[in-house]
Amino acid sequence: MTLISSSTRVIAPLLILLSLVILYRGHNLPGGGFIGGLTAAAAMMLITLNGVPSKFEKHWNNLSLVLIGSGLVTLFCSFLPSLMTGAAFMEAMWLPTVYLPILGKVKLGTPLIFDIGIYLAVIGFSIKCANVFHANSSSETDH
Amino acid sequence: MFFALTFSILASAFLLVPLIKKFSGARVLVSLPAGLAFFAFLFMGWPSLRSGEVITHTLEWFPSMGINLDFQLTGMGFVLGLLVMGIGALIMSYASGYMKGDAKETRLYLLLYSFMVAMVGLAVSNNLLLFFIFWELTSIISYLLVGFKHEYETSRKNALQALLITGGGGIAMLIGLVMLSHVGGAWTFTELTANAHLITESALYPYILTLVLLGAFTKSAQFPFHFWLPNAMGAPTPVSAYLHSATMVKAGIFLMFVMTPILGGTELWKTTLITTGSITLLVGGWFGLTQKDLKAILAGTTISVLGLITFLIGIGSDKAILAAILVMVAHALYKASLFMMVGAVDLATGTRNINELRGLKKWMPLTATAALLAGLSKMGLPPFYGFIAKEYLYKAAIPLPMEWIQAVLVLGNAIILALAIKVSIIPFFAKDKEKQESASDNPLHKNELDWTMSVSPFVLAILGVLFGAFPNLITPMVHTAVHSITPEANLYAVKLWSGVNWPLILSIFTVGLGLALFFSSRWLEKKETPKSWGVVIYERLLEAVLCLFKKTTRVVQSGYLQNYLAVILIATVALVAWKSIPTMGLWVSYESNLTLTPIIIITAVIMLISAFWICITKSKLNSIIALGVIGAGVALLFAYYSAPDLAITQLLVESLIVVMFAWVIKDIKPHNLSTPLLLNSWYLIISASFSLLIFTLVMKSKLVNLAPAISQKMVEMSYPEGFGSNVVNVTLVDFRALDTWGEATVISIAAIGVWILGKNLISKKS
Repeated sequence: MTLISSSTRVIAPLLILLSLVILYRGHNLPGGGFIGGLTAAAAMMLITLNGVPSKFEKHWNNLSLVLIGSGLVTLFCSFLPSLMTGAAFMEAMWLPTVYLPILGKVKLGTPLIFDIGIYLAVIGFSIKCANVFHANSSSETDH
Repeated sequence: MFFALTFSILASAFLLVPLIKKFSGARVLVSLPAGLAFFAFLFMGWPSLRSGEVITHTLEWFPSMGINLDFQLTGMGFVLGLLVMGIGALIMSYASGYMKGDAKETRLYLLLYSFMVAMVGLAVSNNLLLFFIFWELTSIISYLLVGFKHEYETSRKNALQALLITGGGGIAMLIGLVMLSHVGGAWTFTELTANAHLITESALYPYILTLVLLGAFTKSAQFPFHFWLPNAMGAPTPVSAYLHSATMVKAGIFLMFVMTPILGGTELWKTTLITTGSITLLVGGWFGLTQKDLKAILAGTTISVLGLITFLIGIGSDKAILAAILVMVAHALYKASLFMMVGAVDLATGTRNINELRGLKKWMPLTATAALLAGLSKMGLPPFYGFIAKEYLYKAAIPLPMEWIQAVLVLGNAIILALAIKVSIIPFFAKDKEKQESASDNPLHKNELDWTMSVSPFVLAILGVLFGAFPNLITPMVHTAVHSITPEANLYAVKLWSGVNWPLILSIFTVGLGLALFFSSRWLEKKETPKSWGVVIYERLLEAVLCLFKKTTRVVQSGYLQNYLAVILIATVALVAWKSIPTMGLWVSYESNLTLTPIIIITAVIMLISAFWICITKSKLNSIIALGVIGAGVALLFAYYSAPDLAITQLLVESLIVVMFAWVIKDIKPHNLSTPLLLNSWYLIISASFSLLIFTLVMKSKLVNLAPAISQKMVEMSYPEGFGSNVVNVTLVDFRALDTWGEATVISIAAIGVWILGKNLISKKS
C-alpha cells in the first residue's frame, strides 16, 4: 500500500465532508456550490488516481453523467417554487428562519437548492474529465 | 374542441400502440385510434361545414407579431383530413399484417401516426408559419420512413435525397411565405385571401410565386424534381402506399389549392402550372412505361397523376378545380389500394418483377379482386370513380384554346391506362404462355397472407366502385371543397353518365390508344434504367457541396491548439485596439490607491520568473509546474486584496488542472518544440501584443467610467434582498442566477464533448 493510496482513504472522505461544509456556508462566508464542487472533485480525482475500488468500477463511468444530469435537474427544480407561486421566474424563495442546535441560525431557500445543483454539475464535469484523461493514459500503458 | 378532440385521439396512439403490441393478440387494433379520429373528424366536422358555420380555434403564440396557432376547418382541409385519417386507418391495419414479426414494428406504427398528426395539422392550419411547421414535419418523418431499413446504404441515400429535395423546397417556400405575409400584411390564409389583390399587384409577386411553387413542386414530385419519388419507393410498402401516393405528395397539391385564391388567376400562375403539370404527366408516364418493377411503375403513374392535378389547378376554372379534387380523391383510393396489393404480392412471391408474375389469382383471390377493381378505376372505365374524374378532367380541358393540351391529356391518360393493365391485370389473370420457371409458379406462400393485408385494399377498391356508381355520396363534400377554393364557383353536378359528348369520345379514344400502348409496352421496358439527368445534377451538386465543406474544414480546423489560440488572440487584439486606442490613447499612467507591499513584490517577481521559465524550458513538465506557480501567485494576489472566493476558486482550479495535465502530458506534442518558444518570433509578437493590450486595458479601466458601476449596488442589496453576506455567492445564485444556470449548462455540454473526444482517442489507440 503506497503512501497515496493509504492517505486517500482518509483524505477523500474528509475532503467530501469539507466540500459539503463549504457548500452550505457559502451564502454568508467564502464558499458556495462552485468552490465546494471543486473541492469534492479533488477528492474524486484522488480516488481515480488511486484506482477505483473494484466494486464501484462499473458505476464509476456513469457517475459523472448522473451527477451532471441531476445537477441540471436540481437547478431547474430551484425555479419551480417561483413558477408555482406565480412570482417572477427564478425569483428567490425563502423558508422562515429556524434555529437548530449545532448549525445555529438556518435559513433555507431556493438559492441553496440552486447552489446544490451547481455543486453536482461541477463535480460531474470534473470527474468526467478526470475519467477520460485517466482512461486515456492507462490505455496507453496497457498497449 | 373539434381540433383538440381529433388531435388527442391521434395522440392517444402513442400510448395505445405500444400497449396493444404488448398485451393484445389482435395487432390490427393499432388502426383503432386512426379510425376513431376519422369518424370524430367526419361526424363533428361535416354538420357544421355543411351548415356554413366555420370551426376555428386560435392559441396565442407570438401575439405581439401577429403570429398565432390558428386552426380552421375548410372544405379542402376537410377532404384532405378525411383522406389522411381514413386511408391512414386502413394502412395501419394493413401494416399490422405486413410488419408481422418485424422487430421495428412499433417504430413504424408510431412514425406513421406522427406523420398522420402532421398531415392533419397541415390540413387544418390557417397560419402560414403553422402550415410550414407541419409541412417540414411531414418531410422529416418521411425521411425516417424512407430510411426505415437503415441498415441498407441505398435506403439511407434515398431517404437523404428525398429529405434534401423536399427540405430544400421547404426552405424556398418559407422565404416565399414570409414575403407573402409581408406583402399581404397578414399571417393567416383567410386574411391573405381578402388581400389577394395587394399580392398579385405587388412587384414581388413573381418571386413569391416562384418560391412558394418551389415548395409545392418539390413536395409533389413535379418535373424537374420528380426523381426523388421513385427512389423513395425503397421504403416498406405501407409507407409507399400512405406517404408517397395517397397523402404526403398531396401536400404540395394542397398548397397549390389553398394558394389559388391568394396567388392564382394570373397569367404567370396559369402558364407555370399548366406547363409543369403537362410535362410531369408525360415524364412520369414515360418513366412508368420503361419499368418492370411493380412499385416503380406505380411511382411513375403517381407522378403522372400529380402532374395532372397541377395542370388542372393551373387552369383554375370552376370545372377544373372540381375535376382536380375528383382526380385527387379517386387517385388516393385506387393508388393506395394498388400499392397495398403490390406489397402483398411482393411478400407472397418474393418478387415485384412484372415478367415473373402470372396467374396469381389462383393463390390470392381476394387480393386479385381488389387489384382488378382498383385497376379499373385507375383505367378510368365506368362505373368507377376514376371514370368520373377523367370525364370532368376532359370537360375542364376542352374549352381551353390550346389544342396541344388535349392531345397531351389523352396521351397521358392512355399511358396511365396501359400501366394500370400491366399492374393490376397481368400479374393476376394472364396465363404464362412460355411456361418458364417463374416465381409465381412456386410462391413462398400458397394462399392469401394475413387477412388484414387483403381487406384494406379491398375496402378502398370497393369505395372506388361505390362512389362511382353513387357519386352523390360524396359530392356535397367535394362541392364544399370547391367552394373553399373559389367561393363564387358554379357547382356542377357530378354524374356518372352525362350523355354522348366530347369528353366521352375523348375517353373512348384514350382507351384505344391505351390498349395500343399496352401491347407495345414490352418493347419499351429497359433492362436498366439510366440515371435521369435530375439525379445526375443532384448527385454532382451534393458532391460539390460536401467537397467544399471538407476543404473549408481542413483550412479552418487545423487541429493545432496554437493555431486556434493565435487566431483568437490576433482577432481580439485587432478588434479591441481598433475600437479603444483612438478613444483612449496609448499612454498609461499609474494611478491607484493600492499599495505595493513586499509580499506583493516578491509574488510578482516569482510569477515573472515562472513566466520566463515557461518560455525557455524544453521540458513539458517544467512548463506545467511553472504555470501552476503563476496560478498560485494569482490566487495569492486575490487573497491579499480581499477576494477570498476568487482566491479559493483559482487555487482549486489550478491544482485540478495540474493533475489533469499530468495525465495527458505525454500526448501533448508541440509541433516545434525544437526551438524554445521565446525564440519563435511569430508567437512572441502575438503574445507580446496581447499582453500589452490587456495591460493597457487594465490600467485604463480605472479611468473609464462609462456607466455607474453596478457592483456597489450589489454589495448594498446583498444582505437585505439576497439574505446573504457573501456578495459573490449571492450574485451567483440569486442576482445573476440566469447566467450561472447558462454556465452550468455550458459545462454539461462541454462534458459531453470531453467524453466523445476521450472515446475517440481511446478507440484510436487500441
